[in-house]
Amino acid sequence: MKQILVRAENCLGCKSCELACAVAHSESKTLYGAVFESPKPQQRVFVEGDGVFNFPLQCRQCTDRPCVHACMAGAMYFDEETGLVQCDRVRCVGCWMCVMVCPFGVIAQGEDHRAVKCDRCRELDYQPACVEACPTKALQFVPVSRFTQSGRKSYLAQIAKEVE
Amino acid sequence: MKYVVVGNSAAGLFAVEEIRRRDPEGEITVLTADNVPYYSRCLTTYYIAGDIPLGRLYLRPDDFAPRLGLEIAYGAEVTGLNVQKQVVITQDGREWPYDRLLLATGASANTLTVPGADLPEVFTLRHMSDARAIDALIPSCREAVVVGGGLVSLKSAYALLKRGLKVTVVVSSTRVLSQMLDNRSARYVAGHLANHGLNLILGADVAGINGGEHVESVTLSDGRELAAQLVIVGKGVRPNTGYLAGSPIAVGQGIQVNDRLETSAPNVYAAGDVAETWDRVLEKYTVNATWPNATAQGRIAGANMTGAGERYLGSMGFNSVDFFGLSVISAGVVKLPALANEGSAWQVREQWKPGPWGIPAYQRLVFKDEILKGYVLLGDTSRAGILTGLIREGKPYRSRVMEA
Ligand SMILES: Cc1cc2nc3c(=O)[nH]c(=O)nc-3n(C[C@H](O)[C@H](O)[C@H](O)COP(=O)(O)OP(=O)(O)OC[C@H]3O[C@@H](n4cnc5c(N)ncnc54)[C@H](O)[C@@H]3O)c2cc1C
Ligand code: SF4
Ligand code: SF4
Repeated sequence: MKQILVRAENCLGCKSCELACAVAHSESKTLYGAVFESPKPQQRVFVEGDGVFNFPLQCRQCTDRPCVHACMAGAMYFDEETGLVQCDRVRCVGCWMCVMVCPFGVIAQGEDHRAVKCDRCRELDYQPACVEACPTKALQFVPVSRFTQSGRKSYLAQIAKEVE
Repeated sequence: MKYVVVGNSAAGLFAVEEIRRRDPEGEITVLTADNVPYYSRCLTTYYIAGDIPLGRLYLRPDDFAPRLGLEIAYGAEVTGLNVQKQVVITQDGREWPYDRLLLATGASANTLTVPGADLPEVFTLRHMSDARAIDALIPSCREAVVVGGGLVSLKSAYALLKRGLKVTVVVSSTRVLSQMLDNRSARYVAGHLANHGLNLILGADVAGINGGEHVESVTLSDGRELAAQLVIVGKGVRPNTGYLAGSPIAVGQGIQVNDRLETSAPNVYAAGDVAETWDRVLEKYTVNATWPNATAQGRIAGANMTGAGERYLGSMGFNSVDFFGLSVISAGVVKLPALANEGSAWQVREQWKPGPWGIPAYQRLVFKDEILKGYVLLGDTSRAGILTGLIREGKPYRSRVMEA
């Protein structure tokens, strides 16, 4: 299975991925169209950092799926077919239990009061727009097996210094 | 292998899914006192509020039981068990043999014992049937009294407000959400609810509920009388362990389990609101009766019933609420007083900033020896999960380790 791999050392903090993500989740799927849409299309990838160390991040597809366990509305679910954690936004009630437990902080609180997270570009045939948009290959879409756990640990350690 | 799971809610649901994932052949029987398929009781207030239709409470599609090969017995209240014979006994006297048993019987709402508490319009809110009855009554009501200042009470009050009732919440303690919040955030939440029309009475108890055949008013201990045609009581919950009387299964605050979620009897597991588990933050055994703890315990108990030998690293106290666009999330240790004697190892850092739409961004972080032990976020809660992760990992806050 393919996963989105983050090579933080390559990230310049240009936020091309954030923009591409918002466009990919707009109605029109174009930048010009997206700008005028209401509600504003929302990005599901976040570039964290201080300008020196940057880190683009979207749903890491945790193997223990804390968001699915926390969702008391049955909106967050594991899609057996694609092996992805997805959010059924119709069911979401905006209780933010998932936000409370997502260790990467990558679930956004949508303007429509529903959870917003990376869906691996479901509407684009699962070809992640962020990866395509990244000029430095800090985001790569590659077949990998066990990077989730180690990625989370290093991210938590990194964020630990800067959270304040 | 014969699996019996008692209870069809959060813990029971995640347990049967995990059992089936790992053991495609085993016989799974679900015994439940409920009369409805898997649903989320947390959503009952959203239903009462009119935010979602009743059907949205159900958590799984109609063909869920046949697809997983579950035999579900509804209305099957367990009244006892015999751990030597390995059988569960239901109220009709029937015995259900098991090789592995999960007790996921959850909790019941505490009731009031004051005069008039048995009038027909006095409710607790725990079951779908409670929600339906309250929903049906609302059109004939003008005023409601909600007793208690916890999460379920405030969510109920919010729902009634949204339905246009005049709502008074009566809280014995001097603040709302006292389990979840510190003084400062609790005061803000109370003010926010008041701004949205809630009448909040703190530091008062209900002395009696008046009315001949129907609720007409509520009398407080200070003599005040509040008109009401509907009363919802939210005075906390207690684990459903009554059926264990006379069995050798150890019960403290709840059914005691080890880090495999095994009870003191062989082949018997417990999970969810009924279980007393290791709290990884408080570092003691307690009942953490919330949805995410119940599902996580259910999943791991299910895995271990098939022989997986997974360790449960512990529960923790956390919760999230959102009232009229004000989001509040807290986790772990939020207040110091109880720990004051431990001295300077404990530290609090607070920050209160103005935020968009007049809602402040409040952050309260509680540390012990530089390790994050708890937090309250109000207004901007977007990074709550990272903080929860830090509490879980238990690493020193300023660590710079890069492990990967
Ligand atoms: C209105 C409301 C709002 C809530 N909001 C939140 C929230 O926002 N966040 C949160 O984390 N939690 C919330 N909770 C708490 C959450 O619902 C519980 O933590 C969760 O339901 C626990 O699941 P459980 O499976 O352990 O037990 P329960 O949900 O209590 O289910 C127990 C099951 O056992 C069955 N049972 C009980 N006794 C017997 C018996 N003797 N024989 C057979 N079957 C039996 C019952 O029929 C039921 O199926 C809320 C609860 C309520 C009522
Ligand atoms: S949304 Fe967060 S918690 Fe859920 S799978 Fe993705 S990274 Fe993990
Ligand atoms: S905010 Fe939505 S997706 Fe997240 S836990 Fe609540 S209902 Fe589920």
